[in-house]
Amino acid sequence: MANGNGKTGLLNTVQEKASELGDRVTSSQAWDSVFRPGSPFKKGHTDSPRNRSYVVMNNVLYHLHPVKVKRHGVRLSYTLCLGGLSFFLFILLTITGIFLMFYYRPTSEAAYVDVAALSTSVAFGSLVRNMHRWGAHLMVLTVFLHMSRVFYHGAYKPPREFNWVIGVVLLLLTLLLSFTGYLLPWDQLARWAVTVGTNMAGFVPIFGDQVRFALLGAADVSADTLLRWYVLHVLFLPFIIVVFMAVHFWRVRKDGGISGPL
Amino acid sequence: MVDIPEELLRRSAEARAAATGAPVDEVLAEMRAAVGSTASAPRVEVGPSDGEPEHPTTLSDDLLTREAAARARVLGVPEADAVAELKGEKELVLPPAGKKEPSSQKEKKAAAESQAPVEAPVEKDAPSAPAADTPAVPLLGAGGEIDYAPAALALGMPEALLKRSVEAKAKARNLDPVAVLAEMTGQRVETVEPVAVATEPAPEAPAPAPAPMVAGPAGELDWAAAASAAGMPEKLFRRSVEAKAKAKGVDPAVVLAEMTGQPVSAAPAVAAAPVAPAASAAAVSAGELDWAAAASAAGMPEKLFRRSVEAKAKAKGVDPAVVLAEMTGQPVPAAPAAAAAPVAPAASAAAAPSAAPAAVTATIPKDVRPQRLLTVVKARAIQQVKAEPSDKVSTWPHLLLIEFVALLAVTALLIVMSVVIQAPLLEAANANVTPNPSKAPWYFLGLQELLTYFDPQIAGVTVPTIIGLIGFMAIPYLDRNPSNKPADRKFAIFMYTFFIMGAATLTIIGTLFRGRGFNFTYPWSDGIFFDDLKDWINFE
Repeated sequence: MANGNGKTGLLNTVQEKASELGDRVTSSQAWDSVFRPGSPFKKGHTDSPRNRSYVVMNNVLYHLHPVKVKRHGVRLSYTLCLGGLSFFLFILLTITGIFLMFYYRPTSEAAYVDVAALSTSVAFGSLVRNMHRWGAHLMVLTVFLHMSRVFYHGAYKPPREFNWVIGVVLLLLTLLLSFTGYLLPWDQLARWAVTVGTNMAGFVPIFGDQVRFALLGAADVSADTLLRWYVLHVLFLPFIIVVFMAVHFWRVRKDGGISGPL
Repeated sequence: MVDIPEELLRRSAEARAAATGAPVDEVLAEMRAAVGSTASAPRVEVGPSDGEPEHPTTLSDDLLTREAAARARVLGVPEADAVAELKGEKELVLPPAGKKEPSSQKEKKAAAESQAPVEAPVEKDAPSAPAADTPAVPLLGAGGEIDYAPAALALGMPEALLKRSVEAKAKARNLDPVAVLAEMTGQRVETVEPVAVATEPAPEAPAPAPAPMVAGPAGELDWAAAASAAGMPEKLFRRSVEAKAKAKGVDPAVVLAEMTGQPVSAAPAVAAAPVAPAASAAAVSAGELDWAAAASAAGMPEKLFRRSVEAKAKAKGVDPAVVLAEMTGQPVPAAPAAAAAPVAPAASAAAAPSAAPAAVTATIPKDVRPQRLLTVVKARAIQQVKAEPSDKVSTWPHLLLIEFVALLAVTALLIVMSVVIQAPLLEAANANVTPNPSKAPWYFLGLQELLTYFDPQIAGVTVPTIIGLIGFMAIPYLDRNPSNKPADRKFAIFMYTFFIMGAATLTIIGTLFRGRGFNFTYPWSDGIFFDDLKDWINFE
């Protein structure tokens, strides 16, 4: 432009225009309507204690948290975020699982073919399937580590005893979710792993055979088992685990927030 | 005879001298004569003095060790020596001075600053009376900087919280943090007694309208005066005070002082500085109202308190000073206009013997007794907050940011893992072909491993349900130890770690060290018989 080379001038102009545009967007009614008071995305947001409270109070997701938390609980080394990460992995698994449901039919003829097709003829099919599988293993791990963390902090002590019990139920449900999903690819690995696993259930005294039959829907792993475990995996167990998770999180708040300090 | 520590007497004399304009020595001599003081040497508060022990050591063990620790810290002597000294077992040998003196001077100065309007003289002598003139809780560290740890210990607050609180108060009231800290730690029971003794006006002082006295001339509690002030039979009154003291676990003198409106909490920080307590100091300093002191006495935020007083004053059409005097339990002067001046001496006379009595003589005729302070009903907040203060931070941004980063990190890890490692997919399920070995998912392989050692009834049923499920659920009900400190829970931690390590070992063996026919194998010689891992751990 007038003084300085053309490039710098052009850059300045672009920057000016961009910030002007950004200003117009953030001051528009549409933008303003999206964010509730206190949101850092709102135009003219200031960082004040009041607004910090609003960020949590006015957001449906952040509302899981109280407005203020104990200082020691914020330290990463205290919780390692393990409980939160377990929940997050559950959400990731739900999302990837819904994606997989679009391409999967739980019949003995179609199941294996559909899973194999994910790698060859579905965009991102292989990636999403891998994420679902490794995510599931990771979730078993984080839930277990979360339990250990809670134990070593003595965080199950009064008034949190019952929340620990719910936590053990959640661990069991996590294992069951993972195990039911194990069968769904309907390959040799899945079929025989489930055979071994359910054989253990057959050792239950007195009515072991009945338990095994109820689990498999048949005397042996079969197409009925596949359908049964599919429904358990995508509907029944997630529903149950969500209920328990809700109680679990609620009790964390009601029992006085994070435990400690040590 | 009243045994007033020399240094208190001297301080009092200095204050009187300053107020009346007479030479210090003269006043001191006069006071000595009046008191008949035999005390000529600075007295150590606790422990044996050179004479007969006036106050034998009656400290509880806990208090004693705390006191000893504090002294050891201030004086720079080993803690064991301090304990011995307190118990009267041996003389304390002080290390070469130099460290302690400046710090204690500084404290005194700070305390004096904080205790306007009454001028607390900084005495120059009394160098080695650790308990009498040094706060029981040391405030300054070795390097002269503020040391919050002992004070935090004494107040039962987290150190960080105390520090922040002190700094905030200091800022709000424009004081030195040391002064604020001194004030906060000044609630020690043992620092109150000397004050009570000292605050008794010397007999020759012309009736300075004392508040109900806590201590009689001989140092013991003056029940008669206090009881008559409270309008109760002495016996009844005494029993009530002692019961309260027992219930609260404090000295009866403290309870008495509290009941007679001599606020205990306002006891000066530097043990014996003769200062009017906050409540009575409310009235005036240099003609203007001291809102901070009055508000703190009433237990309300200053702003709120001030607004309330001013509103009342407006509603009644009187001067705020009058309302304030009324609320703090001081006699209301007849003429609102003259409110400020007369209230002050009467009020501060309650507990301050030094400067105040002189002022009283100036304004009040000899034989006229001003209104006597009968009782102060302490204002309490409407809300009774029972929760203990804890150190908290805003969830946004402190927690949410960390969580957000953690989510991103895990998502990134998962995506990278999913791109790099392909999930296994073997040939289609076939009921007629049994793979060798057949393995459960990894998290059940510990159990499968256990099946090779035990009967299925045990390994397949008893262990997972009784130990794994019911046992884990029962942990909180079996572990009756209330502590969550790792040092207190060695057994629990050992048990859990032992169990987890055992399970992990079984799982690892079942996963990696079991080959065809579920026989033992080494993964580096025979390969991996676990399909989830097979594709990405390869020893060849």
